[in-house]
Parts: sequence; structure tokens; C-alpha cells
Amino acid sequence: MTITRVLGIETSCDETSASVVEYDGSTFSQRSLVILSQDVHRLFGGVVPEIASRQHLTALPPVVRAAIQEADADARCCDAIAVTHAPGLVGALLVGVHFAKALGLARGLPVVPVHHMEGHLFATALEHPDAVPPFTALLVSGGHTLLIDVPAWGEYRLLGRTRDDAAGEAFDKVAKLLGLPYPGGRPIEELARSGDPARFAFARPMLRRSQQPGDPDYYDLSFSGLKTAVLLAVRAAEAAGTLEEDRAHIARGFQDAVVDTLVAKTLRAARQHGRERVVLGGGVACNGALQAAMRRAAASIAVFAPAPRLATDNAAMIAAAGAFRFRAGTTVSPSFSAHASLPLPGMLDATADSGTRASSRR
Amino acid sequence: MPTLPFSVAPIGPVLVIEAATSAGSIALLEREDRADPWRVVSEAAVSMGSGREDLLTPAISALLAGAGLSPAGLSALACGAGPGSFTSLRIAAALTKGLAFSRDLPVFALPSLLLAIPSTPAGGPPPGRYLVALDALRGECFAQPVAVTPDQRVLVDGAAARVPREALAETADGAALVEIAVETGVHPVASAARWLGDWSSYGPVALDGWEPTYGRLAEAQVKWEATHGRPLPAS
Repeated sequence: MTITRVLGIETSCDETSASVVEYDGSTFSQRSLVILSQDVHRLFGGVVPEIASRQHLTALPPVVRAAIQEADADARCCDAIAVTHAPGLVGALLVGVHFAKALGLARGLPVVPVHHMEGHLFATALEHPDAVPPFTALLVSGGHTLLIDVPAWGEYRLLGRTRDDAAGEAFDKVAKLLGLPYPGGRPIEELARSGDPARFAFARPMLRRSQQPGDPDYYDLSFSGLKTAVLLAVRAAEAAGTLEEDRAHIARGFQDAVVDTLVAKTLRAARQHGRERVVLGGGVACNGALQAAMRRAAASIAVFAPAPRLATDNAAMIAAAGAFRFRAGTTVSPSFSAHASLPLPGMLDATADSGTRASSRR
Repeated sequence: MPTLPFSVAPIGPVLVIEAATSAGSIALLEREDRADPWRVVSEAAVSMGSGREDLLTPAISALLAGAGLSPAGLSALACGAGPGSFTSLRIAAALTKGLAFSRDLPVFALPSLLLAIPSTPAGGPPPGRYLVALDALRGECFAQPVAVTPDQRVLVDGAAARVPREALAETADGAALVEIAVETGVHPVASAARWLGDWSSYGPVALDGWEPTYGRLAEAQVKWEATHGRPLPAS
């Protein structure tokens, strides 16, 4: 069986990453993965696009060199180069896109633009051979919250998305309210372990038992109301002088509300479309409470979550998606560029029959 | 960083990529001997305005193909090193780095404002003293004193600075003022690299650490440093 070897490059936000991945048409094999995280953004409480773009430019050559060396390869041995071209910070994306284009030009290799969120769909398959379509995907990060039905690689039905804050963004904002560092996911999870789940039982946003398939909010999510509820709880605790003792309880209440909502909507989607697998992706997928709750509630549905290095932004998932696209013969204009937002490629009509019961929305 | 095949300037062919403004340009230069003047093999203008930065790579590909060259046939790269548009500079630098990385080519970082002295129809920039100014936004300009020698070598003639626009004439101090404005056709041009002597002052640079001279810090960094009274720590 022919093996396709792809060099992946990822610069969509604040991680500079490169990876070499092999694909034989059914299984992905990660030969190397190098990720350089730009810690400087912690000082700002969020990513500063101009600083991120500048750091990608100086980080890319050593990161790509290390990935090629770790794979015991050289750029000549790759069949293609895959690079994230959307969505993300345009200035940051442009650095990776043009570095990749130059590599392709210099080596006579095709350059495959990859949608960052499609990359997240492939991440788990790099370490779990069974995490392949058909499955229901929940992609949750600081920038995105998407619920997607995946009948096959390259074919996607967008079922639901956040209407306001992304789940990871909500973690970051609530962490700030509780005086925790950025990014907020891990600090909240750690603090919540000692919290009483009954003390602050926040409403589960956009989740009602009466919702039916076809309702506009059946799969969609929303976290801004929950964030406001946390803000009010924090203010009330401050006024009562109990904030210090309530911080862990508030963190637990917030995390439980997010987790319960994500689990319920994901399993709704999986059952509605007859899927036997759920694949998690994105930085929030590292949350242990989310993984545990999903597995508890999933019953006979298998739940796959990537390791932290593959859950957060990384080039291995870009190389994997690029390898699939390359083998599928996706044609690419050499003048492709970077885009802050772009629809996922291969979108199917969400109302089309998925092989079982059809979703009736969108 | 590759082991350098020479200790002084390259002979050619050399690809020059300049994009300090949205009026990007590229050129292929070569010469028979290091003592010879550069010859422009070919050049092209690439309008990168309105988000058309995607045109630069195909233009480079076409320029090389037109000269019967591939990147493997280059002996060095030169890149406009700013100051100028942050994004345009980075695109040129990313392309330069990618080509250099793939082919172990040395990179020369040419000050962009030195490439903006207009040439006469007879050829070459007129000898004299100049102050080249590029809009730096917020009422300021990047200003670079430049000297053109009688034998038409373009040299740095003092430290570059960011000055208020209204102080340009005073800063020029009798030198001819060259204000870069894409609309009037006055902007850095890659082929003007041929007037910069043997380039030994401009490289080769260390590929990994090199970045363009942006001329300004990121605004968030300026505020952070003002608030904390110290430089932003390295990431």
C-alpha cells in the first residue's frame, strides 16, 4: 500500500507547530510533532495577534527543522506540505502559509491548505485507529464550539455551534472572575475538584427536555448567560464576604453546567444520527470532567479524546487532514491565502438523511 | 543556519523580494564577478493591496521560470528588511525564510528605505544626500538618511528614526526629501538592490532569529512595558 508522507505546519494562533505524518489510505502514523507555545500571551490575559505573528516568523525555521529531524526525514522525502490557512488570526496564518508556499516552491512539492477545524477532526485518529468516521464530533476550544456529524472523512454536517462565547472562552472569562490565571481551563478544573456541586447549581444553558429535533436550539449552545450568572454569584459572594470560600464551589458549579450541556447535546446528536462513536477535539477536550461525564453518559457509544498535545493546536492534525486531502486529489490554486473565517470544506446539508434518522435543522 | 559558501557578497543569480508597502516587487540580479555591477536579469511588480498578498508567490514562480531558473539555481536571497507594513514585511520574510531553509541559501536583509531612491531615465540614482520617509501612521514617518556616492552607490547616511511628519523638512537638513507614496509610484523597488554595493553590511543574517525591522513594537507591548516599566520578557 502506498504511503503518503506529509509535512504539516500550523500557525493559526499562538502555537508554532510542525509535524511529519504518514498515511496509507486508512491509518495515520505520526512520525514527529514539535509544538512551540508562545507563553508571552499569558502576560496579556489573551493572545496579542501582532506579537503572535512576529514570533511565528522567528520560530518557524527551527520548529520545522526539528520536526523533520525528529521524523528522521528531510523535506525532500515528503510528498506534500499541508498548512493551516483558516480560520485563525490572519497575520499569524499568513506567516505559516507563505513559509509553506516557499518550501513547496523550492522543493517542487504541492502545498495543501487545511481548515484548522477539519484538522481537529483528524487529531484523535492519530492515536486511536478506531476514531474514524462515522462519528459525532464535539470540537471545543477557546475560539470554537462546534457539534458536527461526520459520516466520512471530508463529509461534514454542522449540527450546532455556540451562539456567543466559545466554551474555552467561557472558561477563560470565568477564570478571570475567580482570580485565576489565563488560560483558564486547567485552573478551573483543578479548583472545581474541591467544590461542592450543590452550592451553585447554575442553569444548563440552552438545554431543555422539551426541545425536539428541528428546534433551532436543539443542538446549538450558548455560554454568555452562564458567564453572567457566574459574575452575579461572584459579586454576591464578594458582598457577603464569602468569595474566598465560595471560589471552588462556583468553579464546580460553572464547570458542571458546561459539561452537562456539552454531554447532553453531543449524545443527542450521536443518537439522532445513529453514531456509535463520539470524538472530542480542541483544548477543552482535555478537561477530565468532560471526558469522564461523556463516557459515563454515553453507555454503548465509544468516546475518543485526544492526548493534550493533540487536543490543543498542533501540526500533526493538519498533516493528517492534508494527507487525506492530498490522496483524495483535492486541487489547490497556488494563490490560496489565509482567512480569518471560512466554512468547513465538504459541508453536507444538515437536513440530508444521515443513514438513520435525519436531523431536520439547517 | 547553513554553512556559508563564501565570506563576502554573492555573485548570483540572487532573488530579491521587497514588500515594505503594498507595492511589492521582486527581481533577479546577477554579476560575473564581485567587483562587477549587478545586472538585472528580470523584475516584476506585485500589487499586494486589498488583501492580494497571495499574488507574491506565483509572481516569484513566474519570474524564476521566465529566467529558466528554479530555486535550486539561486546562490542567495535578499529581502527588504523594513521598516514598513508589518504584514507585507512578514510575508516577504516568510517566503524568503522558506526558500532559504529549503535550499540552504544565505539571506541578505536590505534596508527597504534604501531601495526607494528613484533612478533617472539614464540609469541609477543621482548622487547626493536624501532623506527617505515612509508613513508610520499616527502623524509620524520612518525617516532614513541616505547618501548616493558619485559612483552611484546607495549608502546609509545616519541612523533611521521615527519623526513627526511636520518635522521632516527640518530632519532632512538640506537633503532631498523622498516621500514614499505608492500612489505616486515612489516606493522601494527590489531591483534597486543593485545600487547597494556589495551587500556585505547586510548579511548573511542568521535565518532563525532574523526578522524585519518593523519600526514599531506591537501596541499591546508598548502599553505593557509602559505599565510595568521594563521590557516584555522573551517568550
